[in-house]
Amino acid sequence: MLPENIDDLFRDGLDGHATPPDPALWARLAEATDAAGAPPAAEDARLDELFRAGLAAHATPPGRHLWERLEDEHLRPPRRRRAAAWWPQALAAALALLLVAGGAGLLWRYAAGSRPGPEVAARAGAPGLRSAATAQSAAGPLRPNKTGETTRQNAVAPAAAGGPKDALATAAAPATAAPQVAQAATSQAPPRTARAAKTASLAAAENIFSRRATRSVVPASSGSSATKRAAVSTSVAAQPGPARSGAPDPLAPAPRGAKLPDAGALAVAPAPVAAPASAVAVIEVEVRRGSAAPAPVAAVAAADAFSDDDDRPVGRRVLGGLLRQARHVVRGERVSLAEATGLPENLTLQANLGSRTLTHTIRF
Amino acid sequence: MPLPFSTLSAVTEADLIAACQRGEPRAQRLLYERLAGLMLTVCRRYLKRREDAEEALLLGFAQMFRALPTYRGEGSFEGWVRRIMVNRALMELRRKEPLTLSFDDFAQPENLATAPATADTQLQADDLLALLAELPPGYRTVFNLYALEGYGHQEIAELLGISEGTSKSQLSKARALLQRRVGQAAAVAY
Repeated sequence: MLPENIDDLFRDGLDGHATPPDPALWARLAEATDAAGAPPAAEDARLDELFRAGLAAHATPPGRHLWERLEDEHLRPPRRRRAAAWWPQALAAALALLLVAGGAGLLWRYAAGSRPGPEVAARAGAPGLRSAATAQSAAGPLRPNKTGETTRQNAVAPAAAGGPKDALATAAAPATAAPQVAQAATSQAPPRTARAAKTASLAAAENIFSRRATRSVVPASSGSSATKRAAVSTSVAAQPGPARSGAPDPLAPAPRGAKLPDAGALAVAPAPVAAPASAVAVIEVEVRRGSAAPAPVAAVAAADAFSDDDDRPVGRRVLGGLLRQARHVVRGERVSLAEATGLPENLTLQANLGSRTLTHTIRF
Repeated sequence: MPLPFSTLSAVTEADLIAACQRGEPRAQRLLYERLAGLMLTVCRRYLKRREDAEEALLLGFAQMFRALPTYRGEGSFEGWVRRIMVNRALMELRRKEPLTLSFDDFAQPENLATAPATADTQLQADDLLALLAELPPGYRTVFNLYALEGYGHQEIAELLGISEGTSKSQLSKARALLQRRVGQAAAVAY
């Protein structure tokens, strides 16, 4: 048979012939189609809608730290970030430095004031001051007794060192140690009251700048509770002495050796015994511990307690106070400058200008 | 002129954007508070771990604030921010969960068996996020981009560096897997 005939044979035999498939083949084909991941379009749309609707408007609250991180790491310059991170420590360090500097300053002023000076030396209490007063009294002509040492020392010191313009004056202070001061200045004159008045009058006439620092020792003799008093007069009042001034002062022995440069001049100067109150202008400044005017006894007791409670040196006490306050800072407790420095919490300044009285309270 | 403090809550989106373009810190904070929740959900759809999503959100906002001066107001501002977040989430995904390694896994027949989700399936957003998180990264990414963001297969292919066929295949397998798991989750819920 020719090859052309063979081709015709198969073409004629198979062309148009259909072989029926196995029924299982369709089932396998359907299973293969499902396994290929082609679910109906409606189910796809339903699934997509489920997720789209469930998540489209959903908001997950971010953590609080995220904004801070975003701001610190990306939005703000690094300089600000460093400042924000370090400012609490810097503030604490500055406060501590300020506290130490303030305490040191107060200590320095405290120590400087304990040297011979009329105002601060009159301060009662501190051991350092007491020793300064003792040294001064040993060098000076006066030999004070135990209670009046500071008063007399300060009374004499300016007069001896200041020259003729630095005269003692008996200002308008009611009693206190004014008569004693007058006696110390004019020494041997028997009528103390008259001499004190004369001295005051002279000072007033010459418009002498006078200064007096004294401490009220006897409560009954003082009208105030001042632990320190500094009376500055431009024109000294010639107010006569108090009730006590006529009697000999048991606390103020006559300073036999005290010779002030202008004592004689003061003594011989003619002056009225008493001048009218309206003719004088007195500025009297009192410094009190505490905010109110306490009873004199209480004030003295407080001053004594202040001086006797702690016998440590001033430096050690102040240092201890500073360390205590530093501990308070660390613990976040209240810081007291008064406690740190050993000073009273309140000081009251009272200025008497004639009939007017000005009072100011300083809180440490 | 800075935004007045009293009107911050009622400020319009355009004013807020303008203030942010001027670099006002309060406006930036307000814009963040308005969009951060929504955008964190977007990031969570792509990233399995919440920490990674938050990192993507952080970097996305930083990028958005930097790019804000170039925003011309064309189209939805939220859509613009969303695109930034999606891109940032994909970058984070590449770092945390290598995408290419997972494209061919999970193609086992037992994972691909379907149980169609019913129309009234009630699942909370967190449940849906959990279902997405369980998907392999390739499935999850393509499903998110196609079904939820509206990208086409060509865009997805360019974005992920894959072929269109691969994108279609991943989508198909992701849907099949989700159908099955949504059905299971709904059955547990009821």
